[in-house]
Amino acid sequence: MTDLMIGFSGVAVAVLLILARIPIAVALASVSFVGILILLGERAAYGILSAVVYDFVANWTLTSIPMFLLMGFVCFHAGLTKGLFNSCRVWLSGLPGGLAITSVVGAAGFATVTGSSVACAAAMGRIAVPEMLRLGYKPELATGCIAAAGTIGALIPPSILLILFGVFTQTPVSLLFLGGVGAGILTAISYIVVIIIRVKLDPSLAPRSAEPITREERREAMHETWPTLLLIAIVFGGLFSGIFTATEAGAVGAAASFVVAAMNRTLDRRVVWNSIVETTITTASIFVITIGANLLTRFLSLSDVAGVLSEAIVGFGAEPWMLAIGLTCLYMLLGLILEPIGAMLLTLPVVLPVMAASDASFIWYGVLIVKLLEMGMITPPVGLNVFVVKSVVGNQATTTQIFRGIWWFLVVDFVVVGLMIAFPSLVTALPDLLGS
Amino acid sequence: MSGPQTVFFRVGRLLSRTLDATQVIAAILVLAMMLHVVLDVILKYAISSGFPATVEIVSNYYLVGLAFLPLALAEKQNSHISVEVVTSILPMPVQRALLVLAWILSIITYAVLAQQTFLDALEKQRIGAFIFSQGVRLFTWPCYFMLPIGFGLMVLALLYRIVALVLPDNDGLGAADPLYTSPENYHD
Repeated sequence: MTDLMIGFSGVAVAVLLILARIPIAVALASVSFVGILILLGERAAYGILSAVVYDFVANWTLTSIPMFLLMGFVCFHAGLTKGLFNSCRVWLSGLPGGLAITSVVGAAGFATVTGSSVACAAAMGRIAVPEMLRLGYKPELATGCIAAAGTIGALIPPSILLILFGVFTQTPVSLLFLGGVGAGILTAISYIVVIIIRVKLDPSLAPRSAEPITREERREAMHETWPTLLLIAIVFGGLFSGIFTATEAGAVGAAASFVVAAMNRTLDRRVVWNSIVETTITTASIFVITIGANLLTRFLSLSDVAGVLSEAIVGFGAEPWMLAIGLTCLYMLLGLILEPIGAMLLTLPVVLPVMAASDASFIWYGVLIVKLLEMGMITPPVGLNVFVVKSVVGNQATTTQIFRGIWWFLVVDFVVVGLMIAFPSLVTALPDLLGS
Repeated sequence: MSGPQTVFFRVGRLLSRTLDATQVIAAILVLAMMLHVVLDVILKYAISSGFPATVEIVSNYYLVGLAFLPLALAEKQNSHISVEVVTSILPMPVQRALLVLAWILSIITYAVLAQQTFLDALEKQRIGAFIFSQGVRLFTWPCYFMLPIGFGLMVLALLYRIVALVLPDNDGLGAADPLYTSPENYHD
């Protein structure tokens, strides 16, 4: 067997193991270790373990992951989303499908304190779905818009996926974050347009709100939100003005979210402990996969799979847009069954050298890949955001109803991806402007 | 004999307590990480010089501990990421067989990792590994021991879970149902 065949068989075996429910970290690490053992022998295989495991993890940029996780979990458990939702509602409830639009804008707001779309969907779903159902919204719209809007959580910074992409491709995380802003806002706007069109076409989906909003309510809503807005201003201002590194922004944001929660009188022992426990467990389960992916990267470059693939792409003369369409097909397929972190870390070792061989920026590729992975969060049969919304709403909607509510948003997601491919500056304009 | 009297149960409870201890340590590391970085930022802008070697301390001591010590804890809560969609349509006996296969493969993988990282840690200790940053000599060799501890606990937890499959009444570890992932454990 040639080295190349060993490399490709390795990838195939890893995919098979993952489908057989072997933990992704174990599948990647064991296949890579055995692969390197066959290619170069025992000493090299153990040597690579010594070289990779510790040094990859002891990394300043990766430190931002637990910090942003902590910030998001504190905001989630302390219910800081409620204020955001209420104040968006004051301004937007007059529009057709006003509460659904409020949920999308609220999700975009919560996205600025969390790096995860699951958290975003759960947080918004908890508050917004019961309210929409109470006012007579159809369950399909009420739940579908939340599952879709949750995906904005991983686009608008902070974003765990963009940090991982940045570390693996050695792209500055702050520039990726700036690119994510454009894609996140574009996604939010397109969802709002979809909601307005749908409600115009079928007004029974969302009855107009009959409750007028008093001046008192407006004032109260503002009062409830300003601490959260301050939190967002500190983190974003510090990060994008170049005052903070990503890790510093995460740590300051986490500390500030404790303070804001205390000011809102929603900080208790349970909130603190749950946030910390979820941060530690999530960190460990993400990091162990990054180690597997790192070993896979070594294995694929040693077996020359990476080199052959990138040469094939260059030889073919593939333009970035062709590659982007290829990536779209790849990630839509993977998104059917894999969750985003696994899908990204499994594919980056293969996709990275191919991207490097083309002349588009890694910022654009990174944001595009995250957008595609997030679309996978709402496609059946495995749509984690749909399952999360289902777990939050209980018996008020079935999983099938939620999936039925998704497809309009999924269609417009393809339009958004098309726009991102046709006009890369939608993503790269902000990083170009502020990053230099 | 069944229940709390058996040796197997007591071993499980001891393991469970050990994992609780790693949770407390990891919690302290998270808070220390946050406070250390925040104080460094404040000092940097107040007196234009932060703590010496913040980057090295945070990424070697806190982050390495946080990444590896809670591995077994994540296993206990069934929080390690795997793909269930294909296996969930298979008959229950096949699912159980695949589960045992997954655990055996995991045990081998983590045992190899534990062994190699332990040898590395001993070597780092022997040479007294350190890094030099901003005039501070920072010993890093103790950090290397967190890897074999984390991987080793993971091996123990997995071994226990395999045996607990045969002795479900005497399970002292009390891990989450391995064939069900609750929505709190979803990641993206």
